[in-house]
Amino acid sequence: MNAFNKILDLKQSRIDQIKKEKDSGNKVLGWLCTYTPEEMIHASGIIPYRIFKGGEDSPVATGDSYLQRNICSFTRGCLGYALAGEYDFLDGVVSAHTCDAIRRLPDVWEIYAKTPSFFFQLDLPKNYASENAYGYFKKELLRFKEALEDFSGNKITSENLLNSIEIYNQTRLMLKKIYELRKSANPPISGSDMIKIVQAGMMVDRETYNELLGDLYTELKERTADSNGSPRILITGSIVADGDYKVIELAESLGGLVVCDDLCTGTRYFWDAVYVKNSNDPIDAICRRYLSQVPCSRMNPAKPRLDHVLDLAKEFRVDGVVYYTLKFCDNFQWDLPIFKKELEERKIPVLSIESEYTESDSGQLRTRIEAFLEMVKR
Amino acid sequence: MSIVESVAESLIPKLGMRRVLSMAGNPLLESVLLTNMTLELFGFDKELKSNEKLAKSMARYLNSCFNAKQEQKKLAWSHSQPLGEILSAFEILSFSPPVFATICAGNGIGTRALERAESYGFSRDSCSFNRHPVGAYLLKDIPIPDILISNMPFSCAAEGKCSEVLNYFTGAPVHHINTPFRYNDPDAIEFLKEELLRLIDVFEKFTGKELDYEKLKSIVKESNEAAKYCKHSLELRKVRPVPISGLDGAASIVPMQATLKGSASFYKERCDELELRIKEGIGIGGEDAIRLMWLVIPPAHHIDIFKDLEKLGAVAVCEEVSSVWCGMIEVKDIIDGLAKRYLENPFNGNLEKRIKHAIEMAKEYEVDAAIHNSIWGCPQSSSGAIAIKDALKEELGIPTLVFDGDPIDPRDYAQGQIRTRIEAFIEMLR
Repeated sequence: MNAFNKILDLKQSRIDQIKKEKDSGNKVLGWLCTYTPEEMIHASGIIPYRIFKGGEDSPVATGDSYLQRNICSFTRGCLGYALAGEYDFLDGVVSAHTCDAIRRLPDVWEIYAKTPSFFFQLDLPKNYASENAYGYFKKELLRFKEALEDFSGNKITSENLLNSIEIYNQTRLMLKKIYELRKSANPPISGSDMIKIVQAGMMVDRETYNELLGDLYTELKERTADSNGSPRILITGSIVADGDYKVIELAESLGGLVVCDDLCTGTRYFWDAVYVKNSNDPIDAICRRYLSQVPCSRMNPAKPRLDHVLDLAKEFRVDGVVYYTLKFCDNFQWDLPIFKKELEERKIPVLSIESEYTESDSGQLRTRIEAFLEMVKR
Repeated sequence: MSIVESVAESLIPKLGMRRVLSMAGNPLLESVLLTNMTLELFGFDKELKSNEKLAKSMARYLNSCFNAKQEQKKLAWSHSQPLGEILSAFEILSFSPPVFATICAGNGIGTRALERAESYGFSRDSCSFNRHPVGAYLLKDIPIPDILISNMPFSCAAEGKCSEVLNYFTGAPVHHINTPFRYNDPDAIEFLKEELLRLIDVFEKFTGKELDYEKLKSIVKESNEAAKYCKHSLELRKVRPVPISGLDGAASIVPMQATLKGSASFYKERCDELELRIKEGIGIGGEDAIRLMWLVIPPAHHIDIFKDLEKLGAVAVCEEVSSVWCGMIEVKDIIDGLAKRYLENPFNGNLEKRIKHAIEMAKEYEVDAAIHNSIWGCPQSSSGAIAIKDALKEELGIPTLVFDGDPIDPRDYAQGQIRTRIEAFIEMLR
């Protein structure tokens, strides 16, 4: 897969490339959560870059000095990387008021890490399904627009924004088309490869990425694969961070095939497009898309996410669901019992896995996943 | 162990909270058994007559919640204070699941509800204040909601989740109030006002009655009166020697948080008693006692921690959790006033606001040190622990002891270890 390798190469060299772009005066803004409208950052001429490195335990230990150990390892890890200077290339950080741990991360980051100087928090209504919530979030986005303009020195015009929306919608469209191919009896790409492709998009140059997604789609369409009757798995739950492939890779190395996901580094990131009804007001379209996207577990109500999982399970003909939570990821843990019940009532077995960024539970996970795959085998 | 204590210890676990509380309302049982039982179990200061009032009104309140259906009253699960006045205006009983969890934990029966929720699949790491009501519902030992309101005046994922779970179990409608974190922003105030108006619509449909603004106004006045005396009763703890123990001081916030009727007279009586003590020079631990500030929520299951501290010569003179529930409401524009009280809560907004509040409180109460127990399932409060500790040290030179200790779940509270750390901490302060 030529395009696959090219995308991963781009990701690999991205920070060096960003540093070069910064030398020519460009700024880069790190974002933490999929409720951040990347289109707006892109339209301001700033480079958006997702802060979601994870999977390693040493940054978590660094973060432990400033965050209590009952905060999830992703959050502590983010702080650990920041303290170690991994994000020194960022000029700013934007986050949304999502889960309580991530909501506090910028507060603590700002106190203890030296960089960056620009922090912005989007106040995101958790109860998203009302005109009042739309109205408030729209004001937040207008405030964000102003902050971006001040920070970049560039005006965000409707034209720029419409252009960026089109570019980001193109990504969504292409990723959805590639996911469609995974519905087949013999999906042409594994789950562990697919998540890396989706994640790369959150870091690399968007226009180049879109072109390569087109190439990847063509390559995958032509590709013949043989899944050999592997159990088809859907993974849902907490963030699967850049580097946190333990569960997906274990499931696939043990004979399963991850054919779909409900993750904020997967379908929840790209499933819904921005529909512009009135070209004079692209912010309104962005606001509506972000508030009505497949919700993160932090949002109320959770039912649309359950419906998303049930729909995907049906469309992708999954044999079992892996519900993955990071220890102390309270929102996704709260949803688990009801999701499990609803899925099992539909004869879809669920394996719930709680883990942290450590290798110490690999043996136990291997045994549990192996037993689960054996059970759901066709 | 006293007879009352042993009766209480055997009775509550056997009968459950619901049946024991059904004794409330019977004057003899109420005064002889229930009230004394509460006083004994929690170790409240029996010299304070206002404590008897507190125990009785709590028992009556919980009993009325358990009996709501028989009394043909609607009951709302409303997690915290902010909507108490509106609910009262609609004559909807307001039941606070976290307050109930605290009472059960204090009575030594919290764990079985927590374990019941866990056996259903809810994580042991999740917020115990919200896991407890889910388990208590499954055990049928909690008042059943007719409507569910998640309305914490700060970021709290768990209360929304608890409400959704109960909606799933009972079918009772659920409504979430969006609390913006931009506490000092006119847009945020307008947004929250609209949220409150939206909820009033919901209540009007739910009860079939229009909101009587005059009635709301008089309830708000009464609530402000309670808040005024509550605040004053807390401020009287600035005096040396402090006229009330840490336990009695911390527990006195419950009527305010649960928006109990008649709270104003309780707080007024409390103020009178404390003023008399101050006049007579009666206090806890003497003038040179080490003065402590308790950050977040003390452990309900080991509430004797305050007595342990006092034995070591230290007394808690203020708590973060007591200080956040006595905001006043502007009567001229009640909805605006309610929204502002919501947003003023120190737990709402960024960490800087919470740190500032802790520093101000430490200064006002002239504390020598602080204790911060991190609630196991509460990321929003736990994630500020180190930053607050550092800020108190840097700004005021005050040390803080930070430990993990869940207020509701004794299994996540290493009592021996915590006691040793506290002893060493107090030793260091001398």
